[in-house]
Amino acid sequence: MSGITVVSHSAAETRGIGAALGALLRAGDVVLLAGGLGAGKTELTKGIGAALAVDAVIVSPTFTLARRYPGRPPLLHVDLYRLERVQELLDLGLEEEGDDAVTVIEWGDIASAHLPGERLEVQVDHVAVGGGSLDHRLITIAPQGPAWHARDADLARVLHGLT
Amino acid sequence: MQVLAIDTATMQVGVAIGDGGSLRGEVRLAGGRRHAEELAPAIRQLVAWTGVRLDHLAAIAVGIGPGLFTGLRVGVTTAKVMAQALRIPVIPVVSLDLVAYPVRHSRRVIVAVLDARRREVFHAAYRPVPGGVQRVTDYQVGRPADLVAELEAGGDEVLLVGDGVTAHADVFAGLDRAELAGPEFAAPSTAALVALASARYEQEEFSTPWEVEPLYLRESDAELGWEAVRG
Repeated sequence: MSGITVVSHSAAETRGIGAALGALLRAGDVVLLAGGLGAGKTELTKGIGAALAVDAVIVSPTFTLARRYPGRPPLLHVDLYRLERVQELLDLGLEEEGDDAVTVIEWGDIASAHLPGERLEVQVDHVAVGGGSLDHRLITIAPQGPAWHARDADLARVLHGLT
Repeated sequence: MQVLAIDTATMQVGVAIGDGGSLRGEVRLAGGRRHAEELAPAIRQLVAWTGVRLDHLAAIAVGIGPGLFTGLRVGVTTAKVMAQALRIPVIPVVSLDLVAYPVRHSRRVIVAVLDARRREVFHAAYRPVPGGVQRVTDYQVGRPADLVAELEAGGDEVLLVGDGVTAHADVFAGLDRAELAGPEFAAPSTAALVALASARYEQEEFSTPWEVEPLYLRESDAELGWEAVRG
């Protein structure tokens, strides 16, 4: 995936990166989070939530599939981990639920063809080598669609502060 | 022969009771997405106001979309459950038809356009014919700009109708020779649903409750792309 990659050395740093991204997000925006189990997708979402002034504790919605948090704007946190078919995705009604919110979709990459083309794609990769001597996350951020590309400068400014 | 008509394919909750010749009553609640809370009370109120006994209903007519999923699910499920409980048939009608029918007196090609979110619209084109409209395209989903380009190329004088036109007013404003229907035509008409369903009832064109499904247009049978991710 092409995009800008930043490095996180801790969960707190991952949340910080999420918060920096969150400050850019507006109602109607969609963020796809990709990366394996334990990569840090939920930590990143917690950071985004903090930037949206979400008070509640954000937990992975693996079992509830989607959870909406009051915020400015609200946060719709979705996890596709338990879904198998496109129909189940449609059943969530994300277009309507997410219309006035920031929608963050964990495992969004499995449904990328069925999600809005205008979106921010974020890949979180866990890199651990040498029995923990090297243990960090590579977070790659790639805007998709003309509306997001128009926000390239904003994104670059935010990401520049992180690298 | 009274029909109860329900359409929840858009932000509107619409309910009507009547037969082919006349409408007994209609309820339209605009602008919400609380279909689940509003639909059953709206039906109850309308039944009470019109004095129509539920066990005298001949059929339940329902708009099956395409439209917004959450509302659609509430409307279609309610129609199926009521039909099953009352042991009467369901008459499914595509919601785009319910947008085109009320403007059938136009001389133009009618293009019904409903907001599909994700910056897309559901649409279909119709020609006015005596007593109604005849659909001349498939039901489709796509970008408003692509629809405008297609209509430009077609060169017909068109009448654009439906909430998808208002949602993408800037895009449709670029279309020459187009006329826009007023906001009162933006949502699928449950009065039209009563009229169309009554005609189908006379022809015995109806379904059993379990046969009726929402019309999604977007692909829904496919599997999600786990294979690529899990390797």
